[in-house]
Amino acid sequence: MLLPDILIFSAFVFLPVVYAFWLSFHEAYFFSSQFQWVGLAHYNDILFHPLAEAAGIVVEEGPVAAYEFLTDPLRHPFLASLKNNVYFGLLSIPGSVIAGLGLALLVNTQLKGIKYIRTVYFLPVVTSMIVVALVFNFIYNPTYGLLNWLLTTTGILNDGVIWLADYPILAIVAMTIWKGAGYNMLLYLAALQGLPTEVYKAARIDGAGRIARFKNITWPLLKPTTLFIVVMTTIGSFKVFTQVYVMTEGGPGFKSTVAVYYIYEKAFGEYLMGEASAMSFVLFGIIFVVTVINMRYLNTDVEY
Amino acid sequence: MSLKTNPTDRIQRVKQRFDNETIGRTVHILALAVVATIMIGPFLYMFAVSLMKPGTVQQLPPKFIPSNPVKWGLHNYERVLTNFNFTRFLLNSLLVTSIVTVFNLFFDTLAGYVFAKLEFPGRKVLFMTILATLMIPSQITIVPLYILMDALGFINTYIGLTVPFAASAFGIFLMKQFIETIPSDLERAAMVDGCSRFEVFYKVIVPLSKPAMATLGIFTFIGTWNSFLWPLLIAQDQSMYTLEVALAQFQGRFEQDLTALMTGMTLTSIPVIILFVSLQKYYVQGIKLSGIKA
Repeated sequence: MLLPDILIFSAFVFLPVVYAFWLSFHEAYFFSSQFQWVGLAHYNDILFHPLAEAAGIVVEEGPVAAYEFLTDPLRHPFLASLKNNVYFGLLSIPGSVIAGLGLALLVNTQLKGIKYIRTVYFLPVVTSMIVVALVFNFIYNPTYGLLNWLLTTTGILNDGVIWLADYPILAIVAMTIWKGAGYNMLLYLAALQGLPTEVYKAARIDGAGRIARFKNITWPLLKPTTLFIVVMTTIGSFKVFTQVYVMTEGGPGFKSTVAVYYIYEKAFGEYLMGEASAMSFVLFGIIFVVTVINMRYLNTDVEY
Repeated sequence: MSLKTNPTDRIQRVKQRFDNETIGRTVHILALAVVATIMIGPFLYMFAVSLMKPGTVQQLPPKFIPSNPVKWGLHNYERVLTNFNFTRFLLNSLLVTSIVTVFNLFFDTLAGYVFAKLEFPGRKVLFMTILATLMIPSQITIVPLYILMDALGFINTYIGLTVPFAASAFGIFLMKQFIETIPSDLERAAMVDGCSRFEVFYKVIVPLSKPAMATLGIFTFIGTWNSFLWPLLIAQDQSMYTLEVALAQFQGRFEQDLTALMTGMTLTSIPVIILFVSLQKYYVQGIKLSGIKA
């Protein structure tokens, strides 16, 4: 009875992973039937050599120069693409937490019709990334886009901004936060509704105001949920692809080329399957480490 | 503050509190409305553009309300549905999504039942291995999977679009958690009545697992309907495009015809939105289940 599942998983998950690992030690050009063994060469090129050189630069010129050397898209495009992922994460993690918690606090009431409001807030989550990205392309359009029009008519800006050219990562992150806010809202809402009311009553009697109650009770008690969202957002920020594909194609220049997009280009643009596989494993390593580190913190239970 | 206060003071205080509450509630409702506008605005924008006359999109200020109702209407929908092969993409999306959903309902429920109820050596290890696959980003497997599909000749086929996703670790986990809550006495009774293992599965387990299966079904449907990277690689002929791929591939061509693009996008989103709104309860349950600490 388990056989079909085992077969599916073996054929489409386990086998490909093993195959990818094997590929990453080869020079594998998609259209040639002969794959050449190159050992660790790919890993050397994308990771070990640059790091070794950077270590030397740290000693000679200091860490800033080393960082610039490592993330120079002309020399180390893959590391440079990872830097874009890190930017993406640094912007989207606090953004997602704030948006999710803000919405949850807003909809955590008994008002009539709040169910419909929650549904509306959740719509971006179920709509496809392609559709949302295309709509935002239009919203961000410098000449006839909604955003520039809103900002210039309200006088916040004097002239329009070419969002996707000047601030591509920021624009994509803003859209991503908007899309995922409803999901994080639900997670927070479930947590909020499970909070013990006695503690709040006690705090009230002690004369704690709204802000004090939030700071000293709600926020600490929501820690597990926050950590869960941080982990998911971190992993998500290393997996970004569709938004970049649709909105900027990695541009302008190398500004918004993220790791998965770069791997995609390598594999299906240049057909260098071996190199692409090696990069995938480096990326997997990073995601794995991030997850493990987070998991260790995740199991901190709150006591009351 | 002394405990003995005169009545007028108390009335004053109650009034004060009442006023504060009304103000608070008004601010709250306003905030809810503003956020709702932000959340639904882009969709309304998309819908409004899909109703516009081609060529009037690039106007500022953007018009949400038609100045000339005659110029607005559903003619874009007519255009898109007749000219752009749209029905073909829609059918592809429907077919692929339905097949994947049915596959998952069957295989995940079956595996969930086995892991929940049957004892056999290596059960724990196998289940853990399957769960561990959730950690592997799909991007790792996509390159070798593509080479594999190419070698097997499954590029541009429905097999290539569906079979790799016939079972999911998340689905198996979800079904196992649910089926564990079904009392084993029911199975034993069925066994005594002479049912085979498989009969027990589809006569006892499946009917009782309907709520969890609804959750899994809607999750799989929406996820597959919205999937992009894999169909983009596999569907290389236009005749195999799913809606998502078609929208992404044609966006450049529609630079001059945004109304058609927005119409296509609206049509693509409608099925998912209807499905979500009608089966919301099950969807939300799935999120709460996946949000628990593993």
